[in-house]
Amino acid sequence: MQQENSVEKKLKERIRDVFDDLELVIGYCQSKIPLKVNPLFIQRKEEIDDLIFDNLCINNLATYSYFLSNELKGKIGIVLKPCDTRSITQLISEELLNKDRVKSIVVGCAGILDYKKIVKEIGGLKIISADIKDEHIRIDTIDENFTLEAKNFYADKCYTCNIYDNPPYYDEFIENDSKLNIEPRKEYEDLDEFEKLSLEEINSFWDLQFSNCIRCYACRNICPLEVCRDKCIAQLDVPHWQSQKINSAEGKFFQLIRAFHLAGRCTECGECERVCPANIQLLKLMKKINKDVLKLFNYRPGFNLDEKPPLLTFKNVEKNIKEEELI
Amino acid sequence: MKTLTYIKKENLNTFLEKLNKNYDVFLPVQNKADGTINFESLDIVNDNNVINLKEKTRKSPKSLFFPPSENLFEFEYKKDIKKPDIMEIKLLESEKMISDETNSRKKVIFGIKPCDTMAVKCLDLVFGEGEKKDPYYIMKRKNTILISIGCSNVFPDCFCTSVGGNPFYFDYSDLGLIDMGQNLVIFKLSERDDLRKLLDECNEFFEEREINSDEEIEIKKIISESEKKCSSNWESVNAEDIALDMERKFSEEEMWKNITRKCISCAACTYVCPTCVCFNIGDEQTGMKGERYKCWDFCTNYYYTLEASGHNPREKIYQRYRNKINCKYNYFYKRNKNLYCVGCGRCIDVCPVGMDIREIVKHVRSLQK
Repeated sequence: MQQENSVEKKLKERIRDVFDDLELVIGYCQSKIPLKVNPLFIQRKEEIDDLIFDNLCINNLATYSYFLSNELKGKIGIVLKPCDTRSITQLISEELLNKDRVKSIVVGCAGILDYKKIVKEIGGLKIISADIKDEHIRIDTIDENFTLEAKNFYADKCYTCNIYDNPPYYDEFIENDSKLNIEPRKEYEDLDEFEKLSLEEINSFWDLQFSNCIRCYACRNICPLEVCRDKCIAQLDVPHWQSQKINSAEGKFFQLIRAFHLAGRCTECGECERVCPANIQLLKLMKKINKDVLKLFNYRPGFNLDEKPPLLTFKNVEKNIKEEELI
Repeated sequence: MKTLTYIKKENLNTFLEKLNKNYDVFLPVQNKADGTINFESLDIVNDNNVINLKEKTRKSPKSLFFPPSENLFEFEYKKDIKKPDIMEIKLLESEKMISDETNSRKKVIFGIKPCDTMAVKCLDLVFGEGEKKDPYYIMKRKNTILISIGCSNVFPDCFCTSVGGNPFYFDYSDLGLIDMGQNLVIFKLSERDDLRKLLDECNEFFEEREINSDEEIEIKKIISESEKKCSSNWESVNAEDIALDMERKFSEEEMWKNITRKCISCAACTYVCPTCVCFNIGDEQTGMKGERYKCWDFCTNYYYTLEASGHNPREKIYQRYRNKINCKYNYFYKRNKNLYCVGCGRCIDVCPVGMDIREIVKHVRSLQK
């Protein structure tokens, strides 16, 4: 059992204070699997003791907000990282979530470690045990031991994050004494190489990526903004838009449906890429679309409660789209 | 005096290559780019990937017998302009599709883990035995030889000992090997004729000598240590008791709701599961031609039970997850006296939200009623 850190203590205290107004609080708890954490659903006050908050809390718990707020009558408390609040903001701005039904308990973030990056670094070996101390990750596998420097293994979004200690939206904010301390990168810097590719190269890149899709729908179901889960047009029988076959063509078709659904709405939390059992680079596609939306409409999803996503509305004249040039 | 038949590990690659001439060899191959391991054909092993017999594969080997999607037959519509009210349907031969080249070629799955062989047994009970048989499955299955290597390495999510197996359970393997450092020692040999043939063909790779007492002790030690490690991951489960408990607590809606809250009802667990057998059958048509296909389906899916009327008997996630657990620990046990969970732990590994099937069963069992 790890020792309670100062932010955990503050978080628990704050939740105890507000708990009586809430029907349920979602937070994080320890997992038996090394370097992973589990979502925790707190219904009784004594369960607050199980809460944790550290640099492994990668899950975006905003995912549960839409469905739980429909299922339960009372108010729901959700422990969020500053970046996760973008998903809540987006849901509220699209009128999918009622602001008064959810209490966002936001915790200052010192960066989160990306499990997939770590596993990739150690060559896909299965982790038997691990611990993190002083910015070093020590990992035991069957035959080998590794010590990795944490600063290289944060989630991609952490390197471009500038809201880790000033969340754009919150009901409660708990400051974290440890701050994000990694070398920042330019936003969408990782797309530079990709954008230089020719159309054929891009096409074959995605063909290869999507050929791995097993259509488990984990990407769709973990996404906080894809509230269409049980009404997805990729699975409808009538009308039967898409075959249920599992092959590369259908995988591509499904992933493109997803991409269009999230165009200009995606808050880039990276959950889709994290959960993909086939390791498809889903976030790259979303980022590229978001980058284009930013350029065309000057819109960044998840920052403004009152702004409508540009692709859910229209203007008679778009400033950055020269229609006459398109004809 | 007992004898020891073994193959030297240094000869393993040449052995596999020789095998590959007469058989399609499938084995755990690790992709160097992202580290994932899956059962792949030996033909694809090149600079970008490497054979890895130690670790667990991400996806189960079930797709080698029960592919994610498979065409059953093709058909063609014919219409005569003079008789517009009559439509003729012509079936293309399905017999040919069952015994086509990929299905009828001899296969060897090398390095399949004992838990996965138990899972193949589960598939056999559904597709290969009983009243209704699946010829597509049987064709692939009967042409496949399973060569397994016992698990000297046990991972935190392994729990085969709890569900009736163990890391050296070779009952459903055709050839069972134990890794003894330098050599792979034959521990179990089935009576299959085609296995004999295979061994005769590769005679030169197998060496035989008398076993000494040290080695005997070592083998026992390897087996008991793995077993001990695996059983520490979860308590032993009495299948009969669990099945009863699952049935008794089926209608504890609140409990089921609470323990499945974090489930997002994706198919990751069922698609990597070696025993999940659900499938759907559909027709796809383009122009006047079409095909009937079978493809994986998953019970945690909303559409799985959606009825034509619009009613859905398993509308909520907890109802669907409850069905999944009951399927593994109750329904199939009642039908076949065989648990449909083999303890491979893949579902625990891939679950995006950390659902642990062991925890769920534990919760259900601990509820007093």
